[in-house]
Amino acid sequence: MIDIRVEGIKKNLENKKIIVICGSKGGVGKSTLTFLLSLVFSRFVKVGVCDLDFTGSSLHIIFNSTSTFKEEDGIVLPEVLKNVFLLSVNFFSKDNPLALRGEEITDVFLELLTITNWKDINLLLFDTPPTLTDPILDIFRFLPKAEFWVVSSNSILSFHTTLKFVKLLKEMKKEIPILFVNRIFENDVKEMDVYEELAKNFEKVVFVPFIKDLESFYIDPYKLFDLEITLFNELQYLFTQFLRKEVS
Amino acid sequence: MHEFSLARAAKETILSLNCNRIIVYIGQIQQIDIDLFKNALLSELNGMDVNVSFQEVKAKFKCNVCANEFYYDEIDLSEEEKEDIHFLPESIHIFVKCPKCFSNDFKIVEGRGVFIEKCETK
Repeated sequence: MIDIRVEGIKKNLENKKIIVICGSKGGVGKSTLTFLLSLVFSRFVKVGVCDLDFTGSSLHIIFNSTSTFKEEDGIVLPEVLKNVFLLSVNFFSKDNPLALRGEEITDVFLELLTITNWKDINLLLFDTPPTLTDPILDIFRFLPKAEFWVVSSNSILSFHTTLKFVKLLKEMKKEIPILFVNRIFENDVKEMDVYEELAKNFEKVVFVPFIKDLESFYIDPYKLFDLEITLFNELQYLFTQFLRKEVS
Repeated sequence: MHEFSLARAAKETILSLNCNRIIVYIGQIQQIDIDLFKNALLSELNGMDVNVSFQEVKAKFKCNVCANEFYYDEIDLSEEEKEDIHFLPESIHIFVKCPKCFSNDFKIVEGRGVFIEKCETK
């Protein structure tokens, strides 16, 4: 028996640029980074943000959104910020716990990506759960052209596990142009050999500074641009150098 | 209606198979408007030489804890719960528990998804 969603997802996403925000450990800042990237990139193009952490979805909280979808030739995503459209399993689970086993996660993945009406959204950011779990394997299987932007914290533990993660991505011949290092700890990465070994796998490394009281900006995220940090210029550079030609 | 997006997915699958006779199995848990889906698919296939028939598959569950089997027709759901399950069948784990041991760790063994079978290739 042939699942119609496999061809459906292929057709539905055929002209979309998909960036997978991934990492080997929990709490390294994948969701936060997805949020920050969407904030910057949405100045240039419409961005679809997909929360693939189905059992621990949190992007709707970061975007401070209680909005849900409309039904119009598929599900039409709510615009949670100007030019940012969110796809979240929380539309259906409504903050209830949703425990899923392996195949069910794949079913949710295929179902949501088949029935979503992306309209003219051409850049998709996929926020994923930590480690090499089903959503990552499903992306390998069903979305072979997706690009992986890797997130680590600045800890030895995170660097070591990320190195293993990157090894698999390279074996799968995946594009991994960018490493984000979240400065969560007071560590100097230059003293870590494992960091050097990890960093050489990427075209670009972006250090994400610790942003004090970040969660207070969820209500009005545009106030983040008032902070005197170079991060947003760096993220804008990423769009210009890596994405502009493909999505504009 | 998301029946249209499923119809498009079915059409793409049929195109990829190069078939002229198929059966479309529609899982009960999807709660698809069958007539709407049928019309949408036949409209998508307009002009194509394909004979399509439809069959609904009853939804059946099996508890991973006690191995009890139970059916969708035995479950009492509100309209709002049915609506959520219509879009995302796995959300049934939020609303339903095994009637025997009350666990929500059960598997949807039949009646989930839309599948194509019995293709006669051109």
